[in-house]
Amino acid sequence: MSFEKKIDGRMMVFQLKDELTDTLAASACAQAQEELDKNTQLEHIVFDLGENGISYHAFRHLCPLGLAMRKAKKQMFALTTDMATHRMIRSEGMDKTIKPIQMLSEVNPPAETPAAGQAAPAPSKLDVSFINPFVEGTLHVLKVQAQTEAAAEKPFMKTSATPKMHVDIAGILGITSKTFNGGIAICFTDKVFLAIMSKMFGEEYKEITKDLEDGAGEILNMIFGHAKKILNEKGHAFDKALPTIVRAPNLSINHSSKSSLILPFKAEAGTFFMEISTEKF
Amino acid sequence: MFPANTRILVVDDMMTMRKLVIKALKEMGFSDFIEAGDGAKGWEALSGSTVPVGIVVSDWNMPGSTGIDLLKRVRAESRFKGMPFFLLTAEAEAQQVAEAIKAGVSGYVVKPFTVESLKIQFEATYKKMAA
Repeated sequence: MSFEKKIDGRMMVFQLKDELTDTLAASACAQAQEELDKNTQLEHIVFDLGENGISYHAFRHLCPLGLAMRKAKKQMFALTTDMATHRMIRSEGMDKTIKPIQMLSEVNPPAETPAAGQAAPAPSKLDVSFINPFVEGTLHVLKVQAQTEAAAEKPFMKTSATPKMHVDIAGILGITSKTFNGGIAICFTDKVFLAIMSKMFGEEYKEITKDLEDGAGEILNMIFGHAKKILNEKGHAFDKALPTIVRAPNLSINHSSKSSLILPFKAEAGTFFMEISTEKF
Repeated sequence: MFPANTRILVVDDMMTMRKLVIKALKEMGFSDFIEAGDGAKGWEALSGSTVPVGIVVSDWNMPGSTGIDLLKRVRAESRFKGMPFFLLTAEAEAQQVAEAIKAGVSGYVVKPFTVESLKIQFEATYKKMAA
């Protein structure tokens, strides 16, 4: 087992035909470090793994180099189509250190990221870079924690003309930061919420008990945690926030700001949505 | 791996998350659990448990006394020296991870989590303690 390496401009690629093991990672990281020391133009280290993954022990070599690269505003990538590796890197919170990608074209220059302390621009209407972390977070959280596959549908602005959407239970977070003042809510009908909770706990629930209610808040908490990490890397300054749960048959979520963005999702049991509200929309 | 009869304290303000953590721990073979809704209640449960608690799994972000508050308190108490303490949190930013490591966390699991991710942390800590 070995790897091939090539340098293409600012990028150094290690191509592997097998799993990136502890031994291979140690060797590749030593060579990458040597190259980074002598070639100041080098900004990206890519481990091209094809369909293969990374052994857990390899991270003890990858993480220190990845962290040192990040400090120097450089980036390490794991290029693999093995989604289990993507999930593992994310679930262990290592995706900042070694960014999982599926295509080489995803290797972006770090100059796109605002410098430390520089605030990101406030989100404007349908700002994809702001919305996507919430969409990805929703799909990821439901898949990992509730074994629920969902699909994102087309987002739209909620106006006074938008028909009332059926909501029985919602988790709500109020957020104040330098770049965002508003609220985020995840809204479910009883039917969809019970289906998600049933999958999450592996037992069938027919009604929302007190014990189950806070599941809406926890789902939102995890989605926000996922989105916050990505958005704070882009210069937002979201702090921790605690969700509250609202439950009533056919309730309405009213925010003090003028309009809201609706991110609809479709799961097997039906549709649900996230509502992001800020005065900037 | 830690003995299956180890008493585990699960701390989270969200009942569903406590239930989910216990479900995962049961899948890992454990069967003795006590629960608390925040760091202060976690400390009471830990100090007052008739059967000694062997492992703590705590959420970080809770109203009032947080998981990191509980961790610091545990690490400051000699009778709980070396107790495996795992933080389970939606906070995955490097700054938070660094703060947890500094406070003496044994393992850090990011939510959403899988049984496998929790097991990896338990096994790594057990190996470290056994070495």
